[in-house]
Amino acid sequence: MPQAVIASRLRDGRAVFLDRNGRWVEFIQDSRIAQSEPEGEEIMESARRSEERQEIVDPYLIDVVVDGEAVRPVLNREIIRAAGPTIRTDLGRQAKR
Amino acid sequence: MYRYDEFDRRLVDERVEQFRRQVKRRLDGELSEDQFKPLRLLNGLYLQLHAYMLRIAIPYGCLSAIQLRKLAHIGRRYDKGYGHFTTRQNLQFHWIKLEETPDILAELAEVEMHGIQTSGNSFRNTTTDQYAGAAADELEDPRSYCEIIRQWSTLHPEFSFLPRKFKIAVTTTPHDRAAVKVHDIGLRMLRNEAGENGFEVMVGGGLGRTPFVGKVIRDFLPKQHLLSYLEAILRVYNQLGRRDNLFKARIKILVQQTGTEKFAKLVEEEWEQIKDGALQLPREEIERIASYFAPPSYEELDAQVPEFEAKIAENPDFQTWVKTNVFPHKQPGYAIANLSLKPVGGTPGDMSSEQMDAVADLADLYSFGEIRVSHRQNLVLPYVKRADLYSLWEQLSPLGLATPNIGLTSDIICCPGLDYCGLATARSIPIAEEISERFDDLDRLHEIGEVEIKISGCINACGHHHVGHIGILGLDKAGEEFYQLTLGGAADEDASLGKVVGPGFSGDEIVDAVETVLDTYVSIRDEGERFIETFRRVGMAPFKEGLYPK
Ligand code: SF4
Repeated sequence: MPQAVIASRLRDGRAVFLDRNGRWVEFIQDSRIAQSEPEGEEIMESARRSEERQEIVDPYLIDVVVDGEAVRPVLNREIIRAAGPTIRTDLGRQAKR
Repeated sequence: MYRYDEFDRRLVDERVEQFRRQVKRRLDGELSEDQFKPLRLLNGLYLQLHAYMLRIAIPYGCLSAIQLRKLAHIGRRYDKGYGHFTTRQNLQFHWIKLEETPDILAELAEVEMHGIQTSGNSFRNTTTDQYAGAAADELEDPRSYCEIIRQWSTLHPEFSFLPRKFKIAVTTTPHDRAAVKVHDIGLRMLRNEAGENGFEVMVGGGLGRTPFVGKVIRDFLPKQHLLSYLEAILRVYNQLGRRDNLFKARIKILVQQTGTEKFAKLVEEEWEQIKDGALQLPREEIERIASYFAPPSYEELDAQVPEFEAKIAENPDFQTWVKTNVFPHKQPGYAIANLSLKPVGGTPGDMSSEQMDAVADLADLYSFGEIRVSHRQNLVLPYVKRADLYSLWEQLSPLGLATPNIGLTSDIICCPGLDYCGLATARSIPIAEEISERFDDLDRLHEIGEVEIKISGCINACGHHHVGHIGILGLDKAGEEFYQLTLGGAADEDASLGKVVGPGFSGDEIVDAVETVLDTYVSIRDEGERFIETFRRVGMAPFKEGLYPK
């Protein structure tokens, strides 16, 4: 299953995703998608280095479903992290796109 | 209200500056998350699903209008324009930035607030009756004792590394509104035959993974021995409580494993050594602390207020609100007004900055500038003249704070759940919202009467589901949200733990299940019988039949 890396940004705690350029971005659509286990390990390695530089906290791989442009996490918890609270759709990333 | 003394002020100011340095070192990369986490937790700062969460202590649920305005300002300036009142009478902001936290704490310190005692393996904010100092049925104002406990416990050198967090609750009324039996220590004031007030002492209550109702270890503790007795309990716990297993570290497990009698004996032995020492509370000291909670300057009023009675007679909506949301006061001509934070379809306990500002103004106008937070996630104006209730109600209504549902089906206790909380296994708020929408008909709500629904988004039970008349626990079953239903819990003087009714329900089914339970109750209750009384009379069977027809 395709995967992305999620983490909390150190300075503000916002949920962020690692992109193709090794930068942390706010929208899961912009994240780098690992198509294989070795690729997943590779982006996790990059995330861990970023954690060591104290840029982010607690990075981990999440399973995602890719449908054209859209990227959607599989688990409820990660769907909510990526979008925002389900009871306040005016808040979080869901409010911005 | 209690005002800081020099010691409190210095402590809080020093903490702010210390934390500012710690945050800087963290942001500069000098501290790792492992090193920083215990430091931020000491100041009430958590890292959750969307952002940092700051939990602000509201000692024993007492807020001044000035403090509430400050919280409104923090919500607007540093968060997303709202805050969430918790079951520990505290307030949480869910969208905090680490880099702004030192400034927030500095702003809080300006109004004598902080995040100390809100997290970590320490004493937590002592909680009490939200009607403290105003309730017609109280023996004494419990806030003095909460404050005495706060001063004793804050930075207590011997107890700075407890096996686990520690929660104390105090009530001074026969009807317990502070859920003291589900705290690590519960203190209930009683009057003995000689006419003296003292405390019944309970230990080992608690919710979470392994819930217990507290056990009485002393029937009557004279007031002057309060601190020495607490110290004795804490010493026994500190020595014998388990530190090797997080899930077995709370005092409730120690009491359970040791046996109540033996535990009580250990405490009494320890207490014998220290009871006549420095921790004795002389009457003058109790009176000194009590003077911080002196009654406001009440007017001499008649108990009968004709204009209030007239308004009740002519306005049925006002009458309904008075019936559910107004509570008797000890002072003639005054009343306690409950402000519901449970509007139909709203998040229980959430409040916008605009609402906070407006309530602060109303508190200044009608309640000597004082507000209380209840563990049921509502607010209280404790000192309102009966003659002012109608104007107050008129102003609360457009603010969405006059829902007449205190103690009814839609007055739901609900934790943040998976919409915010990193530990959650399922969402809880959408379930609460849907229940309140399902029961939005006021006639039906009042017809059902008093019932307590409590929802938690995981086994940690911040939403007190074990002691809900109807309890709902959100779990995860193979990636799907799934809800366990318990019936028969109670958190008052007759505290009991709810029992699981049977197989759980999906997110789509759970509100129907709650409705079935309530319909069953209405169909079988005796005249005037509350939900919990019916449940205790008939047991689980009729509810099961309704929920799982053969
Ligand atoms: S009960 Fe669980 S989900 Fe709810 S606030 Fe507590 S830890 Fe979070």
